[in-house]
Amino acid sequence: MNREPSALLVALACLLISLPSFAALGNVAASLPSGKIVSADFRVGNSGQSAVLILHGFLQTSEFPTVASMSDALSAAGYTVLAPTLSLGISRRNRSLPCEAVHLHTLDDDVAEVAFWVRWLLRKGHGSIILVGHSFGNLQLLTYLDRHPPPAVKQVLLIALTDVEVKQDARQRAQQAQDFRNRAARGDNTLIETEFGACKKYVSPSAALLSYMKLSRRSILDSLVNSPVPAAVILGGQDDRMGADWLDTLVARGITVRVIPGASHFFDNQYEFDLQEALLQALPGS
Amino acid sequence: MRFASIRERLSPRPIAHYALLFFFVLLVSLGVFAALVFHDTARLKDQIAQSEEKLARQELEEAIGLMTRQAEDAAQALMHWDEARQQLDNPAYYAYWRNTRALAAGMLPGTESLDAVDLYDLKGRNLSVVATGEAIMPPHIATQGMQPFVRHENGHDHLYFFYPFHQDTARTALAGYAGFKYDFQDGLNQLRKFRYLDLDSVRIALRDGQSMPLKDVMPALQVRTIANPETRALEKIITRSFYEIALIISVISLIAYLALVSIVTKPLRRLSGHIEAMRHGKDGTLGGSYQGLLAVTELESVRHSLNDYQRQLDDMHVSLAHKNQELWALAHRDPLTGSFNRRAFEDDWSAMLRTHADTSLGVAFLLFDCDHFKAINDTYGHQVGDQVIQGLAESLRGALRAADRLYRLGGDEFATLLASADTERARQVAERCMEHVLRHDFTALGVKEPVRISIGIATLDAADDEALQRMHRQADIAMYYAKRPGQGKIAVYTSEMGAGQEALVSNAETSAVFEAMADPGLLEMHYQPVLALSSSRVEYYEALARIRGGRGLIVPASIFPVVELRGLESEFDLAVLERVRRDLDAGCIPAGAGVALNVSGPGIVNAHVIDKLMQFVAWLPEYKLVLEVTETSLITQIAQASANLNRLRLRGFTIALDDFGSGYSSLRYLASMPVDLVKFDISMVHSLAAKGRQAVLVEDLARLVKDAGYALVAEGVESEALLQKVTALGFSHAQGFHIGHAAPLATPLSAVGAL
Repeated sequence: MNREPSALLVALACLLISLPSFAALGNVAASLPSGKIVSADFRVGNSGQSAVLILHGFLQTSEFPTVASMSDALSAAGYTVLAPTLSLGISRRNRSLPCEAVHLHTLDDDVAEVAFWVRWLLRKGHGSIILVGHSFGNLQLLTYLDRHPPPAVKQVLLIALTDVEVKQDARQRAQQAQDFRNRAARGDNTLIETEFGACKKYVSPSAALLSYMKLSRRSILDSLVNSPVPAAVILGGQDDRMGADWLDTLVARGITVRVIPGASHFFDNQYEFDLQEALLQALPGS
Repeated sequence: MRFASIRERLSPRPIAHYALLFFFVLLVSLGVFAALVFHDTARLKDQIAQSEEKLARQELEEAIGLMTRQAEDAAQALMHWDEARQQLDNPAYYAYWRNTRALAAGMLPGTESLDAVDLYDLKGRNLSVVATGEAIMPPHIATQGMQPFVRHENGHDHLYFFYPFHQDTARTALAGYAGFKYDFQDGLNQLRKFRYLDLDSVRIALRDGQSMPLKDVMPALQVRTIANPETRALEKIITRSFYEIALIISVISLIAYLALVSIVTKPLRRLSGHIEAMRHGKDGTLGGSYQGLLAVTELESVRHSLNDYQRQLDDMHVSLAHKNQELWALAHRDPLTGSFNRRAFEDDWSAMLRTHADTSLGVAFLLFDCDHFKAINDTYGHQVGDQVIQGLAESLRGALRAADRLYRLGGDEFATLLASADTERARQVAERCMEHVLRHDFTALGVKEPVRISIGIATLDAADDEALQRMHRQADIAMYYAKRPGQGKIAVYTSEMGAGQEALVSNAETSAVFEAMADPGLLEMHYQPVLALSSSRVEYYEALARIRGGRGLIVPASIFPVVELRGLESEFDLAVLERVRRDLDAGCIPAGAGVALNVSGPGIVNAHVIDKLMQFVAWLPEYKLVLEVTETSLITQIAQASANLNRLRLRGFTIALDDFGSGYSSLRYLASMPVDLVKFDISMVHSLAAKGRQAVLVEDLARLVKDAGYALVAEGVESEALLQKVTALGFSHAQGFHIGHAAPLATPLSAVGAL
């Protein structure tokens, strides 16, 4: 009988604590070393809680609904949330970039910007940083983790982890990568229209394309397995962007995977809350 | 005054003229109305056209404004577009982006009207130039004072907009410039629908390659308006409505005109024509002119009224004709006898003169006069007298031809005109008339005496206005001549007929008679001796009156017609008696002799005459006084006459019946009269000189009268033989030229001495 009032008090206290984080909602902008202006959705959480960096999917922004939903949930839970929007080579980018746009960005550029924002958090005094990625953003985070992240990075949560070999197998991707390499070797910087990721017509010069061709199922699994921080995967039970064996593959490699039944790649509709619940449950201190 | 003068100048016109004038005015009004309508319509069209042009220009201005705002919106969208910023940051693939993304990405509003988009770097250089060396848009732009402009290129007008390209919303970070190119007309066309502006007509007076700032474009634009279907429809409706109204009015007017002509003008003309015909005396009612009713009530009323009026007029005409006939009859007929009167006679004479003005008429004029009518009238009364007149008229009409008219000229005087008749023919007619009168039974009227007429005949000697009067006078003279004792009762005028007869119609003789009656001294008595055959001495003198007139001595033949015509017998008797009395007083008449005094028929019954005669009684001891009366004078008032004669006879007068045998010679009268002497008329005495039945008859009559106890006096004894004869026949006295002429006082004595 005496525990219930105390539980309520704890919940109320948590709510009151979380209020300042709502007050700290807003975009922040920063200038990259290249001079490009980048922005992020930054919400200050409780000082005792980890900062969570949420990275959006391919060509999206921090305002992507799945990302925003997770930001809301984590911010509400008292986490400091930073959801940057990758510039993709465009200063002050604030909208998703169409596949048909000229894509000059590279995977390295993306990873560099992730590192930029981690450092930004560090400069803000956040000693515990949890990385949360969605879709293709997971691959950029994994690539980042491969490159010796700072110790402040404590955990990575991979939401809807993408398999890059759903439409093209490794051999096909290797051939394509070779083609890109050949072009680059010839100094051919013309734009190539190609099917890339979810894009049927992706326009980019071969050099830029080639940067992303580093990613493969194997590299992903290796990155997961070799991740310097704990990594967990949350998948939607109805995510059609994955191969049928993707879940099994992950599990087979000993990766922690939580599947939200019925959810799609974007965890929309009522699965938004399932994702939030699963996310909070996966974070420390929940 | 002015209206009056105008009205005077306006003569009446046929109603059709007024109708035509009305329709002319109507047509003119319609024409004026049409002109006004078309003028107003044209003005309205001009106003609408001006308004529409104004609206079209407003539309154009609004569209240009829209295009400007669209360009501004596009510029804003471009600045917010990441890819555009990417190109300004790194234009390596600008050409690809501009060609495949700039317009196709759908990021810019109004891309359907946007021909091209280009980005410029901070120096105003087209990124295409930077990238590939080619440019669709101007390769360079002025970065200061940039403003939209229109350029004519390849037959098209293009509108260019340039804006600074800021990377941030605060517009502090200028990244370059953006340019937009629109096809002017296509852009306007895609921007909006134009209600008034005909977009195809929009032209800007620019040569190829020439530019013009947008702010200067509007005044230079050449625009046309879209033909407004509503205006055109309205114009059509107005025009059609007008023509329909005009047609309806024209049709109604035509119908009204025809109706007016049919139901008003024609009937009015017929009414007018009929009235005109009536005015000219043609007959016939309007009812005969129309079958059925007239359409207009008033005209029908007029027709009825006219018909009624005409019927009344006809009735009046008939009545007037009757009245005229009656009046004519009254004016031209004698109411007593039914014969024509003097007026008819004069009219007929005038008509005859007019008809036969240039031809010889051969007209005979017969004048009838009843003998002794006055005596009959006085004896039997006026009623019987009238009946006698009627009988005479009836008899005379029976004797005349049907075509010959009998005129009653007055009293007992009748006349007739016989056309184409000579003297012999006239005489035959006169004799037939005489016979008819003689055959008529007047005894039924109680008239015991025979009614006879005297007829004077004159023939026309010349056809002139005076002829009638002259012929009438001549017939008058002839008639009086016929009346004279011893005449045949029918006398044809001859110039030899005594001038004395002229006295009847002579003012001089008439005046002399009146003057003599007023002054008996003017009378000049001639005394004709009467010889006593037994003693051969003049036993007495018959006093015969003469009047000394201005032109000589007026004899009895001229005196007594006047006296009788004018009914002056008694007065004249008194004058003669007075004159004889004066002669007696003067001793002109030898004592022992006698005087025979002629007294007229009226005189013998006149108290004054009787009284005058009584004054002669004083001379009876010395003079034989013989009172001569004619047998005709005894017819009337025979009782009074007999009484007076008896009275005078008793006083010593000798009564002599004068002119026996010239009149009725009724022995009954002779027997009933107190008569001492019977004076045989000269015609009877003269017949004694001839051999024949008449002489025998006279001789026997003389013996008869003598045997009856009367003394006989023979008049007109103009020879010794005749004297012997009468002496032998037993006449007691004789007078005549053989014995002595009538002469003034001294002469008889000498005459006696001659015997």
